[in-house]
Amino acid sequence: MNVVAERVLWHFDEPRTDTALVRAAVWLEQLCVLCYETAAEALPGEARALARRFAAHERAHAAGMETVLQGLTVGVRNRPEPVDVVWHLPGLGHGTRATTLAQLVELEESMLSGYQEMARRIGDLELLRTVGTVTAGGAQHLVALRDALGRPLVPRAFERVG
Amino acid sequence: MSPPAGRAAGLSRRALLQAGALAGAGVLLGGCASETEAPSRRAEVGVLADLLAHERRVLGTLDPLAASLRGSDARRVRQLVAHDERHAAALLAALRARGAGAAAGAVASSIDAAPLARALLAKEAALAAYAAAPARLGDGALRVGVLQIGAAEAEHAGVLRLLLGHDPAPDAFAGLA
Repeated sequence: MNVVAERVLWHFDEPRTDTALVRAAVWLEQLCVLCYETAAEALPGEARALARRFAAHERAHAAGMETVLQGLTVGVRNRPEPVDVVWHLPGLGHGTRATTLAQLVELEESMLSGYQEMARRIGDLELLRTVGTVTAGGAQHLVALRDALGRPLVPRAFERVG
Repeated sequence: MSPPAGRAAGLSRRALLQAGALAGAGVLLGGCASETEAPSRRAEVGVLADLLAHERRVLGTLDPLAASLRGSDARRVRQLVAHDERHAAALLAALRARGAGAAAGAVASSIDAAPLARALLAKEAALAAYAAAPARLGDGALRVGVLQIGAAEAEHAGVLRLLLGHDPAPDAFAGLA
């Protein structure tokens, strides 16, 4: 497991309640926004436009998951900061175009795996209604990122980390 | 909210999950005790049969499409076909594990050959079913397997959009919201 996956999946492994799981998902989606914004500042041309557009998508994912959290009558406790980008994706924005895009692939793959863990453990299945659409959006980000990297677009029949 | 610096892998549950029933057709066999009272196993059979029907409809569009294409486009579509055949096999195995092999056999099979746009429509219909399915499945391991296939289906739809010359990820929610 790569370092990005290890650090992202920690957030999904730690919670012991549905509320904590959803809260972790919101925080991580907000982290994804910051990661794409950081990458956009460093990427050139079409890749920069792609990262900016996906930052907006991640903002929509965060809003969707925050709505799920509000349905549990709780709010967001804290939000990620730039230092959290440094911890989760070390060196993001300081490498080559390929390195940066590859880190974003690792981030998206880790989020998919994290949501799978969330789906496995969650008690209230109604909370999963938004997860299916969020993960579908994330999976399509992967196609675009892999295409930009010249990698196989769908390397696995069952999408999971490792 | 970040894990402490230098934290060891410490992902034993995840490691077990990844080392466990997640390989090949076994991905959907589950076997964990249900974590909720409902949905019932009967309801799960209905969901799985519906997903299998979608897979077969998609295969019905992709098979002739692959034959009509050349070069890298043909290779990409053939890879989707190979994935979907594995998805269908996993769903069939999960149905049989639930004593519903006959129901699987009764699922409608393929439709006529179709152009790329029609294949995308079928893929998007399958994707919508996969996105909705986890909330209707009581078995946690089964939910994971369905999400794994659903993510691959979303990727397939993205590939088909690329082949059509479109954006593979046109909106935040894969067109499902």
